[in-house]
Amino acid sequence: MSGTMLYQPGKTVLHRADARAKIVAILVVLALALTTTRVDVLVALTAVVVLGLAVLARITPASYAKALLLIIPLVLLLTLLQALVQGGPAIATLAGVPLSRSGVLLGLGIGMRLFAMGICFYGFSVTTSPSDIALALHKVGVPYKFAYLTSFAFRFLPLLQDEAKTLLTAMAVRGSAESSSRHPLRRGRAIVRMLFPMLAGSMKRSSEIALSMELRGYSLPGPRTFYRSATFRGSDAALVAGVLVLAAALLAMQWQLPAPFTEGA
Amino acid sequence: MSTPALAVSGLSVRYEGAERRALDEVAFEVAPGQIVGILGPTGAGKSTLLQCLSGVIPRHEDGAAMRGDIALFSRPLTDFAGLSDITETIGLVLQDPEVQLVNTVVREELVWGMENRGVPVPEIERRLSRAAELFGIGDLLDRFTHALSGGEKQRVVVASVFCLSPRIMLLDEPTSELDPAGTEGVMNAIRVLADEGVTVLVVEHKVEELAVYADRLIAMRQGRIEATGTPREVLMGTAAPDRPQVLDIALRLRELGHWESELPLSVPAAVTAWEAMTNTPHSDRNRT
Amino acid sequence: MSHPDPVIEVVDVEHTYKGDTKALAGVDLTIGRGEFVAIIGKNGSGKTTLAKHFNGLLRPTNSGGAVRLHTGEGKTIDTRGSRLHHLAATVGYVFQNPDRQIFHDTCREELEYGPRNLGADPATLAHQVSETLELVGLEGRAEANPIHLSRGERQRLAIASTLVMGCDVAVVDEPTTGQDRAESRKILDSLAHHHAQGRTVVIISHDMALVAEYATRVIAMRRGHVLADGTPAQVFSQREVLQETNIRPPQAAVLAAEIGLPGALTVDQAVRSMRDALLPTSRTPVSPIGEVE
Repeated sequence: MSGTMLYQPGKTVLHRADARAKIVAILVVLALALTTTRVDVLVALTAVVVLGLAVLARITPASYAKALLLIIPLVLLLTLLQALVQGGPAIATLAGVPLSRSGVLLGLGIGMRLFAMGICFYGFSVTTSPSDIALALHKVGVPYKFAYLTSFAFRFLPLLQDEAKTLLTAMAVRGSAESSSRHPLRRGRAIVRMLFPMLAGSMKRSSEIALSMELRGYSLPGPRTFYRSATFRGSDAALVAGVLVLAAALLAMQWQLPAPFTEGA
Repeated sequence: MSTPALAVSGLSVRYEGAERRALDEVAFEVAPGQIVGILGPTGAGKSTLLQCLSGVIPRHEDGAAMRGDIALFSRPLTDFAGLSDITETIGLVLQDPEVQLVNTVVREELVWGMENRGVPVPEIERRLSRAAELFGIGDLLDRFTHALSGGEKQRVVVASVFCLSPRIMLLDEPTSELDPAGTEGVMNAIRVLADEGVTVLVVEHKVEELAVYADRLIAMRQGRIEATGTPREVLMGTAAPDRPQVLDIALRLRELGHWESELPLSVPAAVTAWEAMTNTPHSDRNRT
Repeated sequence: MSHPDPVIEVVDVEHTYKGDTKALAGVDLTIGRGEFVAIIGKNGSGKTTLAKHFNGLLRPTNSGGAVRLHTGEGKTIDTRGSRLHHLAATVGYVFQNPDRQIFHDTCREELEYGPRNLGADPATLAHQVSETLELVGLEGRAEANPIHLSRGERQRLAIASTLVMGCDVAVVDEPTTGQDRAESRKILDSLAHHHAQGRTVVIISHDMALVAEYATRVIAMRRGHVLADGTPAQVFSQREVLQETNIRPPQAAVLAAEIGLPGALTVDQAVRSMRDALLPTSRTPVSPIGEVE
């Protein structure tokens, strides 16, 4: 019913790992992905992420394949754009227009970059409970009141999703073809119609939510206790070390191996 | 009477732009450890009253002008520093459970308020298991709050306020989405708490439950208190917006000259009364 | 129950939510034209899941299950092969929370929305709308913004915006939740007026007193099965069965049964039969009461 990006409890290595270690891992992957456009390195990175999730969290590619399929048109579009914009030798011609080889490679590289980062985020949010994220942020110095808001967002995303779904269904049961239409434009009209009541509803609700948080001492200045604890164990250090080793290997690959598919390498 | 848990006098509230007062010169006292049911049709001012008692009006609500005196255990409400400070003494459960579930998992929902208060972890554990038992939510603890049914949400919300261990609990229609068994469960839990000294004010349309569980009732209409007293006193009167069916039946039979016994508030009481009334000729016949 | 003039046929319907237990475990029933049906049962018994099958909001998850609608014009529609908005003309559905189905700035526009989607004749629409507003007791509020209505009025508005479509069947999920007694009656009276015009009404409710008074048929659910099905009198007299599922008949019915005067369901009926039992001439039939514990 609600998004599949949500936390799913489990007992795998990644589930048990400290959120801080996982955040470090994500940052490393992000840094790697964003600092190179080389297709071979990015393919390797994606493969490592996919493999890592499969082994450490028993998340098979099947569970996020659907989301990836949604990105593919975007990647193709990007590739085409880059192929048209970039100069250099052509890899092929499309209706008489030369497609730049380096452009295609760049487009594919950006696509792989999105894949690697997307899969990584997915693995994180599925294996980490929102309150652990909040706690981890708090432990690294973010004031609790702000850290809590991350966990709060995970609570209200499904709520909004639910509400949108109910409103659209309510339109459909009153004979609206728009709200169940597969035609994006017509469906768009239904969504616009729905937006205002949803916004009005959330405005009213947010004041009540603020009140109910207040009633349970959200803004009390006194010391707060933490029921859950986050301990950075040896296994977490090992996870971070492992990720760093992989990063080093990928960097080495980038420096040592010549970039593939380049003219006259 | 010992120090009242709640003392209210001359309480009036008018919302901005409203034609009449939402509360009009309301005054009453509640002894500690009592369950007080608040009855009245929509617009009677029940929710407004609970909001005043918990300091939400005027502290959180700008559009309401309030005057009058409220004291919790003899301490004027104006003496408290802020809303969070008041809620050390008073726990308020709002009508809509959806806005009161602010965490993703039930266990965290229950724990969250206690963490904010700085309750030590062993004590958190203790209250958590008590809440689970009292409100029958032990098997919900690891569920997602957004995936609960309406009735489950209501039980979790009441339980999470219970976890703050307030001396006074104010509940605004806490059982509206519960079936009869669920309603009885919550009412039983409230009774247990009251017997331990917690004072409970509950706004509720379900008179048949209130008739049995409440110590006193307050009937409101259009911002005024129309009647207060024991459930029997209030429900017999004209101020009650609704009556338990058995009481209705007995009152109508009494009007017809057929009900001499005490007026019943529950089915068993009605059966006993009826047997007393009809068995008399029955046993007479046996003797002859 | 079999019906000479069925409007909804539910055949061996099972429904399993993703990764969950069976919410419906094989339900067979037929709803006849002109019935006022109440579906009862504790939270989680499958009431809403069943009701959502009536207009295709949910479809059976077993291949053998089917829900068929018989329209006024004599057509038969299988919900499985139909898009949601095509079924809307036959079965209307009112959700539990009125605020999630009201999306216009005036009551009039709210009511016009459904009929317009169904291609209503603009010439008669205004009349249709004012008639329906009157039916639910909101006459004179046509231009009011729904935000300014009371909770009960908003519920009646949500019901009106479904009734105005003139569907054969109106399904209403827990219409009286959180409403006071007077408001609950107004809501049920609106539905009763609609029913009196020959329409079929299906409600889901926990309020047994209202069910006893308004429904012509009661379907009691338990763990995805139909536990009992019949007139209110028939269902509420099966006390052992009901106890099992925590359904409590209205106090009037329980009291009447306990004192040996079964058959009474409402306060009026109980008063009448108790008064009759107390009249000196009819003292004798009262004597079995001694046997009731």
